[in-house]
Amino acid sequence: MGALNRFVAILVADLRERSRSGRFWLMLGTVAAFTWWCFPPIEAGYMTVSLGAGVRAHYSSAWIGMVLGLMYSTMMSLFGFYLVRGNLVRDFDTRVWQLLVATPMTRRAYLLAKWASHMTVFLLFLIVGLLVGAIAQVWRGEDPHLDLIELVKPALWLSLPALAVTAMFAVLFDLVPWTRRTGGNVLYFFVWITLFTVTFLVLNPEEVAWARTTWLSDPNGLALVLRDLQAHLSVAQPGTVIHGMNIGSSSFEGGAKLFEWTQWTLRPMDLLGRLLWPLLSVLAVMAMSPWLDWAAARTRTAATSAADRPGRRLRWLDALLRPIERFPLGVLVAAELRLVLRQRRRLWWLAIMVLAAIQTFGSLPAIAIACIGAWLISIDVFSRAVLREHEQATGALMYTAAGARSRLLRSRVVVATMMAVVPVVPALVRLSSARPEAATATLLVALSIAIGGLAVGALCRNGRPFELLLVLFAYIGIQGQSTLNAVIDPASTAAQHALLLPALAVLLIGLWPRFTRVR
Amino acid sequence: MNAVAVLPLAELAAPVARGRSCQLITEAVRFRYGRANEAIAGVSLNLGPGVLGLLGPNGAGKSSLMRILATLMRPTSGRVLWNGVDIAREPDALRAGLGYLPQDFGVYPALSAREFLAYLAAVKGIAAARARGRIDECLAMVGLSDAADRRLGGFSGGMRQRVGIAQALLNDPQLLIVDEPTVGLDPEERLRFRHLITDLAGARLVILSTHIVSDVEASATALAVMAKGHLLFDGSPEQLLRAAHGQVWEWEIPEASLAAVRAQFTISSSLRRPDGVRLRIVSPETPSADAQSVAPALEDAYLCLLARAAAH
Repeated sequence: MGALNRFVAILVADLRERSRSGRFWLMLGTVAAFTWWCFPPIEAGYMTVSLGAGVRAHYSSAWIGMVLGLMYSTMMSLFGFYLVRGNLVRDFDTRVWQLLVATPMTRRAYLLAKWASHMTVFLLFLIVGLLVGAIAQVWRGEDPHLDLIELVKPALWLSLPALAVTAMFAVLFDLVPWTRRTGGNVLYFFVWITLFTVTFLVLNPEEVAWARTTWLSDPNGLALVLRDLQAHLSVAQPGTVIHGMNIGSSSFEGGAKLFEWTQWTLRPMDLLGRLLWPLLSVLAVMAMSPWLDWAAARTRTAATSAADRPGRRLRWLDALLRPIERFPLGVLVAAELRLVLRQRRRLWWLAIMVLAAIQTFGSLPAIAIACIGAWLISIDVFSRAVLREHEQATGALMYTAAGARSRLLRSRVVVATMMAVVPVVPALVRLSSARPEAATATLLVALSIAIGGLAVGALCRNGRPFELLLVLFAYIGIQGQSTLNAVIDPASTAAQHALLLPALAVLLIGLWPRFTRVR
Repeated sequence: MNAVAVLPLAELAAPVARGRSCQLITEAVRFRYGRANEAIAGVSLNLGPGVLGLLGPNGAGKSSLMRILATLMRPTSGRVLWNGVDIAREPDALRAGLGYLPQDFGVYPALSAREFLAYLAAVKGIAAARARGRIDECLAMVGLSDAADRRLGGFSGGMRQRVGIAQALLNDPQLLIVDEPTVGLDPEERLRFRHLITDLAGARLVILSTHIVSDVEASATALAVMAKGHLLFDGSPEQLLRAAHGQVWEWEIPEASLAAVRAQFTISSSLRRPDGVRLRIVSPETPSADAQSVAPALEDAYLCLLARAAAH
């Protein structure tokens, strides 16, 4: 009974702590709006879950639940990580852990409670999604019969296994000291994309014969849904051949093709396959408990994160910065550059040199990827530079000086710009003679990243959203999308950032006075 | 570990701009956190050069008042005038001459003490050439000259606190606000800090907020006492002492009676002796025929004031 009480107490305290911030309710509102967007009217010209091009079921309870389950299992398993993570680190940094450790609570129970706390948040978001989904079904009126069991069933069976895995990673990344901040935020994106693609490829019923009968399923349940929908369509609409499934916004031309889907019947063994992922997650969380004390000892106060380490002395940097210290703003800029650069690891310097060499000697596509790499390895600088006073409690020292707010803003912009532009100088030099339009686009991307990082950091008061955005665009940029890849379509890249830059600058300038208020 | 080379403070602390006016007035300042929680309930003060010791128990509203005076918060109602200028409207008028040491603050561990001060001097808008000399002076004032080029990541709590004091002095402030500066300092550091505050007083106004009476005993030329957001006392230390005259007693009791006496009276100090416990009691009436009336110390007078306020 005592153990259960402790477990519930941790859940309740965590939920209170999370729900008493405006950001939580903003996210809940955003999720509600996102869910509404998932169910467009038939004439909208896009679908969020479709088979082939423009094929979906009527908005029955079962289909609404299916769409919710798929959207939440894919999107929430990515974005949800950034939303829920950090509650262990908070306990370590605030030293609440030291109070908890002196109680009869076991390490295993503590970690399970933290995992369950993440799941509680996901469940809350899912309930909101289900409510919006039910309203959407009634509002759209394609199938007015509301069947709560059919609505909830697919949403739960599809999303909870994926979210259980996400919650497990949120616990793991909070435990490992070097994945607690930016490093973990970047790494998780690649973990997510790998898990998503590898498990689907292994279990894709269109490609792998045994996947059509197996009870195993990928965490997101994509293979399972694809298998059952194709089986349903082959009976309901013989002769209709549909390949693949689109998740996310997909537009189509011509009329939408609708089919009936009022019930999703899972085989008992499929249920076992779905339960496997939460089970594995729980086992993994329990397996982490022997390392909890080790992890808890490595807190910010013990100077384990890069931002809190004294770092290297870098005497050559002092000599390099001396000329700029002659200017009124130069002392500030120099000090901020020292702060940023001294905390860089050796590996960062090595990566910068390798990326500079690729920019100097590589092919055009390699230059573009090296530029993206150069921005990506400094990802923590852009949005976290603006959060320094908040994270290191120096706001009261800074903002009580006359004119400090404006001086700090200017120096932050200069430093962020230098950190975005200097690592791509070799590319700029090469491109300016070979492809001047690509050089302009690269420069605009660099400026946009610098200002965007500060603006989004100030807007969200958190580095994670910008880091996620940058990783996302870096990933699709490497695949050939033009937002960060300036050599694919320089005109398009330049146009995007020429439009974005003024908006970001206005946002930053507008937010700054409010952001620099000490709380 | 700690550097101890301290230059003569009187010489270093003296350059404060003599002749510059230095008047701080708070007019019925109120501050609420949310709708119900009134942290400051109409505080009016008229302050000139000297050291004001702002005393009060935890939760009295001292830090909220300090933050308002340091332009970090705006009062919910009332005004704060610095040399006649409303600081809510023109905060930079005060900030230009303000040195502020908050209760909790962080430092950048990657920078040395000298670099950190140079950074803050730049934030304060002090020209680099002038800043260099001033940084050396401030480091000497707080006894950190020898550790100036060591990085802050390796500093002890007391050394960091001294860096905080040094940064507050960078712009040779007319108004120096220090909020609970001795919390976490060892006795030696605390003593050094008290001497520093004494030496810093002069043509400037120093506001020293604390709940430790001995911190202000040596240096305060004026006292203000707050409790539950209200200003209970505003005057000189002598006035506070006079108000407690005849209300402080020394009484030796057997150890077994201690709990009962403690429940009945306000005890300002106790000293265990072989034949019992010698108590110092604050009470308007004699606690016992054996008790002897003694001259009040500032701590007694402060407790006497709080006890009177609680009784009302």
